[in-house]
Amino acid sequence: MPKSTTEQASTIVHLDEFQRWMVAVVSHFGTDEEAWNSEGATTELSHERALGNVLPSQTLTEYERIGIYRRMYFLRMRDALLIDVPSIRFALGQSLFEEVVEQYFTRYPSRSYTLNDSGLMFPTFVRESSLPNKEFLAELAELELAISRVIEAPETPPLTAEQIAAVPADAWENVCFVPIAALELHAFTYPVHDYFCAFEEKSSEDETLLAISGEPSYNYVCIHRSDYHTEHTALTEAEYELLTALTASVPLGIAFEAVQKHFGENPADAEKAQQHITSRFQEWMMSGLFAAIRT
Amino acid sequence: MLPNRWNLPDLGFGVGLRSVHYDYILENFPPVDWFEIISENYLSQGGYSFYALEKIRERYPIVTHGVSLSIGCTDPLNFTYLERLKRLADLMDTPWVSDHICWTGVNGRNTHDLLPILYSEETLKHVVERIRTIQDFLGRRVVLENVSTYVEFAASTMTEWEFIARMAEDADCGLLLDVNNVFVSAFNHGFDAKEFIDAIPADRICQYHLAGHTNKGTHIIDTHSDHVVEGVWELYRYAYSRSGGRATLLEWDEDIPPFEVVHAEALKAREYRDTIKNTTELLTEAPTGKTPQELLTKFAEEYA
Ligand SMILES: [Fe+2]
Repeated sequence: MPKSTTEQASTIVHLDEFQRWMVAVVSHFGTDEEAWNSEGATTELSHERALGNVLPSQTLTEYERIGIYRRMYFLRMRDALLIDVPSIRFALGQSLFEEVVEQYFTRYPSRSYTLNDSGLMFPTFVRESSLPNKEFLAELAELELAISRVIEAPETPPLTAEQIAAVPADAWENVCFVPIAALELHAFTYPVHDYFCAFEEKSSEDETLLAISGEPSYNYVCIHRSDYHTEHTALTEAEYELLTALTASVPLGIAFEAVQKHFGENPADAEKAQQHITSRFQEWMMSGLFAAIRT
Repeated sequence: MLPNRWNLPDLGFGVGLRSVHYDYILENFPPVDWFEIISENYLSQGGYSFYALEKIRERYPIVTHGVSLSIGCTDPLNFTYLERLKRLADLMDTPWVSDHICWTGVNGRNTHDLLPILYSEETLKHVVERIRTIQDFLGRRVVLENVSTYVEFAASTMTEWEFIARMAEDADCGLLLDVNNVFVSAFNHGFDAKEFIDAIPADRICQYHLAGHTNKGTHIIDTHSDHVVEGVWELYRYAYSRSGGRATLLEWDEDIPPFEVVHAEALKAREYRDTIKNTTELLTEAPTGKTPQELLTKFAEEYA
């Protein structure tokens, strides 16, 4: 229904107030009524002025027309967060997840040009929230964001077998490594990697929730991408420490020395542990975790 | 065939590049004329997406199509974004850089939607200034697309088509005519889609978009989730008969089918084009807008 001339005349709105009003209403997750009357909206345009500016169509009211944008905003942000932290939905359940989506984007609305950054503040938000198991959930989100970062990291050519073979036998003690860009190491205080692996095991049709273990239990993870294929692998504490030292360019001999403390008192066990970690180190070299060796 | 005023190439019939199709394209290199990419997905220039894009770029023309330029926004221009966009545009050697006639947020907040413009003199002046700045900064022709809208405002003092025509002339930019968006907005607001198209300066149209939508009965949502409807094809044929050969692209973003289905849909555009027997003749009959003779004379004057 067309507005009367007097109604239109009283509703002249300027570009900046119109834009701030529209964003306030579109990004408000309550009902239409609540959104139009929210503080963010009415600071810019009173309900009456806003109503005078928005035109109804033959089939939709002013509220319904703006409501289309409001609904799409929620769905878009929900789906963007779901892409960033998919396992969180299985930890929370659909209904709580959707509540969390609303709270999260109210607290941390997107300020990026890309939707791919939607989950960046999610771990911070979770830690600030009163959600049960919040430290677990925050770490789980951090793991998922780390995997996304590795997927998107620049490609750096890994060490070739020839480069490795070219290192003189007596130089290994002092070599330092440069890691590839698509590599991240994480130590989590909760078993979030175990949880994430269980999530990945689920079939896409399986909508059942995955229970969270609230007990702390360290998870060490190596996430890396090789030939555009991203892997996340569990590490022992010793492996995590060794790899962390190597990626920080600590000379190989010193890095190995530092992890001896994990091998126990018994010489036979220590020998076995030493062999095991040496073979893991060789696997890391061959599977492309390093971009360069400095002798 | 009528040239656009900058002699930008008619790339033929292309498809919007989507990640679900990377592997198919890299394995089969299907006979697609060109691809359009969503710029924001490649600005970080990392990961498999960028690798796939670089491989595809070796064989096909690429046009960058953004969603975050926010040309109508009252915030200052984001030069960090523009810097990255320029780098991508240069790498892809895109013949033009496109985005939408909309705004996406304000006060630094991004709704990631293509929000509707208030069609006023104030907005027009603001948008024109920004386009000119961006065009200078990027060193490429900026081509802007009409969006689907679901609401109109009493504070608008002109029609969408009047706004677009004046914007294009004043800013000296190109236009991407999305005929599905014209159809959707015409349905939602009850205007005549052909009146819209007639008002668009044909020599500024550099590209067409085609897509499917979702009709909710009371309104249509621009979902890009289906085949192009008959009414949109007719509108495309009508618009194409005014402009002549322009790069045409099919967008499919939700419920994306196998690549062959998307490509086949894009190629329907060629069939519709082929039913236009005599572009010039049809053009002369266009009820309003410039005649082909006017366009050609203007073109010849400027580029002689
Ligand atoms: Fe479009």
